[in-house]
Amino acid sequence: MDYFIHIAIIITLYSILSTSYNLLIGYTGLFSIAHAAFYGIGAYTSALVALHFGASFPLALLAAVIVTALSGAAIGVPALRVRGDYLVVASFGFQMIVLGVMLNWLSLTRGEGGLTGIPRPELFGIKILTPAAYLPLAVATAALCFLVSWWVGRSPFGRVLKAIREDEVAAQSLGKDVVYFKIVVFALAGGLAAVAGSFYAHYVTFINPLSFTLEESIFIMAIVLVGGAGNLWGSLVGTVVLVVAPESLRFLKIPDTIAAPFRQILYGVLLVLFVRFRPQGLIGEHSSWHAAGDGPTGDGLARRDRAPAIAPSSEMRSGPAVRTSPAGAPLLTVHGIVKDFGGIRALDDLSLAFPEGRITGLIGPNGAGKTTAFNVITGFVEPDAGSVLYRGRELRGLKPSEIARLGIVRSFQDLRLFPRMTVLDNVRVALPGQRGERLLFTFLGALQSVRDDRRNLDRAYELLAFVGLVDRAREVAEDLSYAEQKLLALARLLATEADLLLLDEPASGLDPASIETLMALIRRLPEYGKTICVIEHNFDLIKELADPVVFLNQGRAIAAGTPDEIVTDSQLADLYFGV
Amino acid sequence: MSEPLFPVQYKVVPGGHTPRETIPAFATPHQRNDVQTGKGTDMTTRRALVLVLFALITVTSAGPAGAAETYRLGAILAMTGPNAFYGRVMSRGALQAVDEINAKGGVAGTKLELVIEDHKSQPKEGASGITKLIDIDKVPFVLTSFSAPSLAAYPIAAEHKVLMFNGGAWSPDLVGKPYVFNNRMVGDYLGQVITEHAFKQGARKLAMIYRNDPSGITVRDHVRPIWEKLGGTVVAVEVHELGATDYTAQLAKIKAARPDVIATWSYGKDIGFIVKQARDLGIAVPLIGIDWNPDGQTVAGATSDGFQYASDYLDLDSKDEWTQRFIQDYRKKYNEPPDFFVANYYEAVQILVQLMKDVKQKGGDWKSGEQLRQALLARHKFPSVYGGMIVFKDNGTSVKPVAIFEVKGGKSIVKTVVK
Amino acid sequence: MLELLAQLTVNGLVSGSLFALLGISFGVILGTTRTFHFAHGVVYTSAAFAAYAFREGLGLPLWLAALLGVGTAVLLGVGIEVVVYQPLRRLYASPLTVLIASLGVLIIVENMMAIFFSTDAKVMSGFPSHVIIAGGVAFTLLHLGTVVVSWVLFGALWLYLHGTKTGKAMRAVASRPEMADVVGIDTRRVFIQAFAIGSALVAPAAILFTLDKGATPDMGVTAVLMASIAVIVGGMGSLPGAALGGLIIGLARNWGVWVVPSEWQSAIAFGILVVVIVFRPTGLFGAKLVKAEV
Repeated sequence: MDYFIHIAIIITLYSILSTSYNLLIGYTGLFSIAHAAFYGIGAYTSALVALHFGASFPLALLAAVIVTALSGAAIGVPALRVRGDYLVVASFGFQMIVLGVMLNWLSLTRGEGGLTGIPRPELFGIKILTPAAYLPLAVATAALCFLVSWWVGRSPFGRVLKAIREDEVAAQSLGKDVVYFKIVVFALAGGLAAVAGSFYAHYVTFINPLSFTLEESIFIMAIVLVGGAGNLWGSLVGTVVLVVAPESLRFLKIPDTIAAPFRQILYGVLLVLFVRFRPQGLIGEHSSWHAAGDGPTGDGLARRDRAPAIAPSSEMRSGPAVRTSPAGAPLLTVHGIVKDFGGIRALDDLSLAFPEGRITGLIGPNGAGKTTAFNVITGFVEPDAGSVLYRGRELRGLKPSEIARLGIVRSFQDLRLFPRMTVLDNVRVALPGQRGERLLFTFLGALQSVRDDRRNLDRAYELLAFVGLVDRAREVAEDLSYAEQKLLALARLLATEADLLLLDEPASGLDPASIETLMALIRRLPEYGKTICVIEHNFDLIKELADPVVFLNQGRAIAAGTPDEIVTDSQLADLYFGV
Repeated sequence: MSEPLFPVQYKVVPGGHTPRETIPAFATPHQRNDVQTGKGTDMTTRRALVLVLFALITVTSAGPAGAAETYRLGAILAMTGPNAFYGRVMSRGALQAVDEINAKGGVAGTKLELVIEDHKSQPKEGASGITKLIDIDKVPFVLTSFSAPSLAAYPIAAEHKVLMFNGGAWSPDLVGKPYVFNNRMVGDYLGQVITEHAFKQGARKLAMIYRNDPSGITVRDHVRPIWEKLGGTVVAVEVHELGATDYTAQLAKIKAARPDVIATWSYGKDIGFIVKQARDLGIAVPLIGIDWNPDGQTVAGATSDGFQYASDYLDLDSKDEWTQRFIQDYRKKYNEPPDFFVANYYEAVQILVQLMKDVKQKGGDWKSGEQLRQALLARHKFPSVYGGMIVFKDNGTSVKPVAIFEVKGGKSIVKTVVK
Repeated sequence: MLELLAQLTVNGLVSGSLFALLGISFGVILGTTRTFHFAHGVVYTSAAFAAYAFREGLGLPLWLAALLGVGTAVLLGVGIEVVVYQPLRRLYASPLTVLIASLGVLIIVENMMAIFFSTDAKVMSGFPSHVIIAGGVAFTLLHLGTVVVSWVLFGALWLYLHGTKTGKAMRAVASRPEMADVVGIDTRRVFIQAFAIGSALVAPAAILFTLDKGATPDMGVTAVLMASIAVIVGGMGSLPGAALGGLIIGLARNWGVWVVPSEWQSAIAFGILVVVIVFRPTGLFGAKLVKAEV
């Protein structure tokens, strides 16, 4: 029996590794190939602490988790600030360096010879010697780790992770500090891998670097992708399949010289075939397997038909309710912005002002700098000169997420929804001030976190009701029609509770009926204290919607006034209609 | 020597390493239980895939086939992976001994059966392999190789009082452990032999490049005082990573120290690289070491000429009758001479047979690893296939003939035999 | 001491030239197609083993075997693009997905080669092994050849990209992929071209390496790692950067033994990578880093 118990223990270890890796690659979309390195750091730390300081097993385990989580953050800090490709190379390098340290720092790790005589765990005075005694402990730990990952995955924190995976820029634009989330999830995944490492070290009682190689990282990746990225149950299934299948090769008549490479080939083929033909894995992310009760509470449904469904300003943050400046005074002013792109001047001494509680229209020919102006205001593009003042505060130098949290959000021409998240989650993730986005809070304040989330659920349904998408709440965003996606983008924007909304061609590509629906919604927004700036090509729409209207040309605001004033300016018409 | 293009055919390993095969069973492969099929024809692709994989598993629970009463011994060897070469020759050695004994009717009428598990030189696989051998095949005796998987397997063996025998690469970590015995010469002694030889040849300024692991360091620390006591100086000590391919930086530093002999305390392909790159850097002084193998030879090519090393010595022209018979049998089967790895694993099985007899004679249980161990400690001395006797020390090491070899035209030529 | 410094510099130039060649071969694919082509590693290995098989198996002359090795690499590289990457791109798969597929291809081909050729080292004969000693500094004819071949190929690539119509199309796709479609460049064809050129460039590196140190099926992983480090150190999208990045790594690994104990030699490349990512994430020659692609 020992042999089968041994296999069962190995399965528990890999289930910890795969679920934690799933948090990285499946939830956050971070391509790291260093998971075996974290596993190894955990194993070595635990073994060394136990061997050198005679620490008890729980203490060694704790040390392993802390050290590994810190090293996870350490690799994250430089690599995660920059593009995804860098993370690939940096994690690749990290994997190799960790292996190199294990092999070469002899005085600590004893190199290839490895560490021997790692004590078996002892809990409550009972020394766990046999595999049969070890199994319950391993199963319990794996279950706990699974629970942690599962809880994180369905918390507001986990929702932000998925939003980052879907569209990092959009997540930033909604006020999420993407780098923070990435580093925290790296540390978390590392810490969980360390649990597996520690259990492995104290189970086999011998470790050496060869257990923590690149192949091991790839194996863990194969488990997650075969099982289903973004779904933790999938990782469990993947673990059982991929651990048991090769073990059974021991019992089949395959020559050993072929078996090992053959097994690697199998992993490779699985990776390629799965990403090509079943990218969602055996159990997809939105599989009914893990459908959770995400329906609105009774309260939310009751409020569904109450008009106006969008929350009245009293429920919003201080801004619109307590006006600090008289209506019509500028909420945001842009002054003298200059921006060059490699010799082309996109913005040339641009100055703008958006009066509070009004809808400002921004028009101008293609390439006039309208979208660039949005990019500068929201911090996505650093201007070469000039200033952006919001309620008297300079925005230059702030990160996009910080600006969003101050109350300025923008939409994108190409929407940038979170396509593989549900309609509901697209909105829910954008709600501001969620305490559950702090990892510690999701655990320490678990009850409050659940209560918060209940309330946020209702908020999200209200917003969906406002744009008329309640019936589609449980669908995946990419399944919506284009018009519905535009409405969803608006709902997501409103969910941020920002005071200033910058809308980039909200009506483009829509049929007249949808345009009418959308325009009606936008027109109502000032009632709720929103200040709007809208880029629009359709002059008729602008005329209906906006006042004042600003005309941009070659990076400058060359005219501003009521729609009628702008329309009647024949010079502008020439520019615009390109005579 | 040039490798064949597709050496898979060349490397036909006797199929005896799958479980529950009676040796020599590789001639008659059983028809094993077929994977149960037809279970889920109308399932979705996903379920079908899961099913196929689980069908594989059902084979595992098919249960042992009722084999005839045999005595099972186990082996965990590097049958695949970067060190498959060693697994190949070691398994051949052990199999040859098993075949030979079974052909003579077995041990007191009981035939031997060798079960080989592949550890791929990986510790985790070593632990899994030995657990399977002990738990499912109930072996009391396991042949092992490579320090990492052996060390991972060792606690499990010790716990179940199973005797391990290592005839492969030597490591100081495998010395002084009650349940493991080594019939491979220890590296620090080999290092001593070859450096003393170099001193006699007139070398005074020694440079060392060693592999960064406990075995390399042990040799380095053992040789240094001996060399200095002889009256030589150590002019450079450099270290290399395991499995590196570029040694030029270290060799450039060694070259600048102007030694008159360079010692390599390393193994496998690594030495081949060191030798070749030293010659490419225009280093002309002699190179010495404690290992040489075909992989290193492949890498070094013609630059290996003149490399001298001390190693276990299997005298292919020995007058010893047993040695000759062993060599002839091996040649007949594989059309090449055996090396000392083959001999060590062959010898280990022969030692086991002696132990079995000893235990049986005393009326003990020869399926108890502990009793086998006691028998070994009681006897200490065994006839060696190398000729003469092999003597085990209490720390698990052994002493047997050593020779100094010189590589010429890709072949190792014996220069001196050290007793 | 001066002699040692000179020797280390020569060693560094030799290995650095090889890294430079790896860097530009990887960089031309990454820059043009934005594909993080992990499987470039096995394209590299395939060239080595093909050349080995033709040379040692069929006894062809070295130059012919090398040429066939280049051909094999091009076939495999383009094959991977057409069979694996293109269908994925048509499905609008994320870069992450392509990356995973690439990693999958890497392990498939690597292990197939391990089955066919075994994991033992393979060496190729036919290149004169002549040691040249000049002023106490020694190198072989092969080392000299490595340096010359690497930089001649770099020059050839440069001329191709700046002097020919197809080369200019590649540069256009590299700098403005969305614009290339507009001006009527067939990006699909340009991608195939980039894979062909990248694969053709990596093959000589593999063959030169094999002549010097022998080939093993796992040689590609280190190669693609070094190539990607060279590209990042040099700056993504800059070919001179990639070449310089490779050269710097080669030199640093050798000079490094003065300051860093030898057993850490392979960590030097990563050390440089970390320093670059922290202090100059754009790389030495990279364009200004975009905070995020809006």
